[in-house]
Amino acid sequence: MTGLLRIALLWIVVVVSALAVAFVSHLCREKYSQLTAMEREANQLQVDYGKYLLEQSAWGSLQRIENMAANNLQMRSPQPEEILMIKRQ
Amino acid sequence: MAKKSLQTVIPRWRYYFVMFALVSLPIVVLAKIAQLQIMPDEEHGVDFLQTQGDARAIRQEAIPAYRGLITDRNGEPLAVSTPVTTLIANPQHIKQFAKPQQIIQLAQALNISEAQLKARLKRYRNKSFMHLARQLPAAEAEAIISLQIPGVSGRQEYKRFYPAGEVTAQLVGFTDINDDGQEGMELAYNAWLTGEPGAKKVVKDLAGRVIKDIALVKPAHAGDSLRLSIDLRVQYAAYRALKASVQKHQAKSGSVVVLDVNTGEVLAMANQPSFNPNDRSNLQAGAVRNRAITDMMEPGSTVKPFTILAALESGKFQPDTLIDTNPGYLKVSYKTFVDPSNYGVLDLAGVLQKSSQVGTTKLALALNPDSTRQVFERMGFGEPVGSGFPGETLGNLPGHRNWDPVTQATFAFGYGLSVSSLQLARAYAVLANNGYRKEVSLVAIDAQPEGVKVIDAEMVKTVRNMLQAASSDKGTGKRAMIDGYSVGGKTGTLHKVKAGGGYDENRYMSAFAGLSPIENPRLVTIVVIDEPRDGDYFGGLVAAPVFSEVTGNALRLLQVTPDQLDTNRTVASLLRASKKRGDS
Repeated sequence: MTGLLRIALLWIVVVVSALAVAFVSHLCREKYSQLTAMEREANQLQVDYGKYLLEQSAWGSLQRIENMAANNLQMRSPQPEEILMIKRQ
Repeated sequence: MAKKSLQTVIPRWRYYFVMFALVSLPIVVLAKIAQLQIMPDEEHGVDFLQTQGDARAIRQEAIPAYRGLITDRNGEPLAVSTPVTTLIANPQHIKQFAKPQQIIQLAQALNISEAQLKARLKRYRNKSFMHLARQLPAAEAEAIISLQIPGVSGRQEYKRFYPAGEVTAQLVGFTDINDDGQEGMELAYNAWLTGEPGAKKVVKDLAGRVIKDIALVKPAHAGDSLRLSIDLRVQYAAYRALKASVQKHQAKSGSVVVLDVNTGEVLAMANQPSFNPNDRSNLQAGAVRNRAITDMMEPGSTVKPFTILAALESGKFQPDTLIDTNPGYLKVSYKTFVDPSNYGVLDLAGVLQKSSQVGTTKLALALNPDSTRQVFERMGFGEPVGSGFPGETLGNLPGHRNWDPVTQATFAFGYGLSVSSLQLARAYAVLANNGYRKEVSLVAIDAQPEGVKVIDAEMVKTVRNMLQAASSDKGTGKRAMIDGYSVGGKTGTLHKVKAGGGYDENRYMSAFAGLSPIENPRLVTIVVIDEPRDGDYFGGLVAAPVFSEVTGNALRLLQVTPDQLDTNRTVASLLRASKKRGDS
């Protein structure tokens, strides 16, 4: 190949690689913004999980259940005389 | 006249000189550009200038790490981190860019007076960072950030909440405002629970607000979660019973420890007085101590089973050896040991059942004093429990070169040494495990440890049966009995030490140490009530009922098969009884 052709080819290759660099960094930024969006979502889900966990412990707290059983439902623990234990034969 | 054409010839050198000048000047400019953009150099090169440029806009932000969850053995949450927002400000930015009415707005939003806010900003005027309000709920913080006051931004942090509240407060502990463990398991396992914060690069504008995230430098690692050995239901039962008893007897404090005999795991560890870890504004110092681990006490009569073991081991005594405790008191050197009444002639089981001082003294004096101490040592008194809990006490098991008889005697019934509740529980677990001593764990373990054999199994079984008698109808611990389960345990009514030496006549500690069921023990429970002040102070009256309630509930919750069924009860008899009571 003549010198001129070689130079032209080199020039084309350099331009193409420069465009490729621009394209890849664009993809990279796109992916990173997707990542931050998902991270934000994951964070929010963690917040919700923590809130639900606390809510469940509050509703299901042993003190509350005992109070409700004793006061609202008039339940009580059976006395020893009221308990009959049956052995499985 | 002829015109001569003038042909001015430019000397070649002038041409080349001008050309050279015209060409070289741009090259000089290009060279300088190249030096700034491409050539690396400390002071003026490309790295330096680019770094400076970035420094004007790009900052690194820390990503906070999620602190690990603390749960009980069944996964019930005991400590949960929730995200909160902390408002931070750059005082210099505020000084430069904020308008006066924005500062008024900010003071209103923060619920402080304008003068207060101005004073705070003045104090930090030379710094570039200050906290405005810490750990606000996200919604509140959002409202303040949306005011768009230059220099004010939000940072995400985590705040700990404790769903179980006062029930597990001393064991779980708490963290400070920077999410570092301060007390309890939060402190002991702080490294395990703390994650690793990450870092990310962000672009900030002139006012300090984050415009966008550029790159992740490193991701944040969440901390690992911690599964404790306690069962929240058993813990709640223990706490409730302890609280009721401490209030009823107007005691100063109390603690309950429930140990799973097979694995050595602590199923419950409750203390009074307690506190609310979610609101520590009115914290009293004594409420934070986990007394079961950190407080020492003289064990008193609760170590008598181990003295009996020492007696059996020496070979000088058999279970049916008779000891004469007439006339109900015994003078040793300068001290007289008195029984509440004259029990006459007792066998070893009787000495334990009546908790006779005279009987125990006679046993102790007949033995080699070091052998009693050695048995205590093998049971783990004076040795670390290895729980990893901060402030765990070793207790004290003193050795003497020359034992004087009074010390020998008092040592045998538990005065002159000090132990913690947890050490006492570990020692009773040896009685429960047929002579094997297993290590105690505050963290859930899945395997069943082997343990180390420290005493003969047959002797231990004999002593267990003696303990059953001690808490039967004829023993001092009869209020410890549980319906449906066989129980064995020892009461302790201990004098407290007076300031200046000697024992106080009017201040006591009530204790009960026991295990259940007798044949294949599953649980060991130690109850200690400190300074009951309403008149009752015997261990059998104050501590034994707590034992009965706590251990009974624990056995039922763990679905242990009852071994003492009342065969007189039938469905018919139950119906008759309920009709008599008038139930529908």
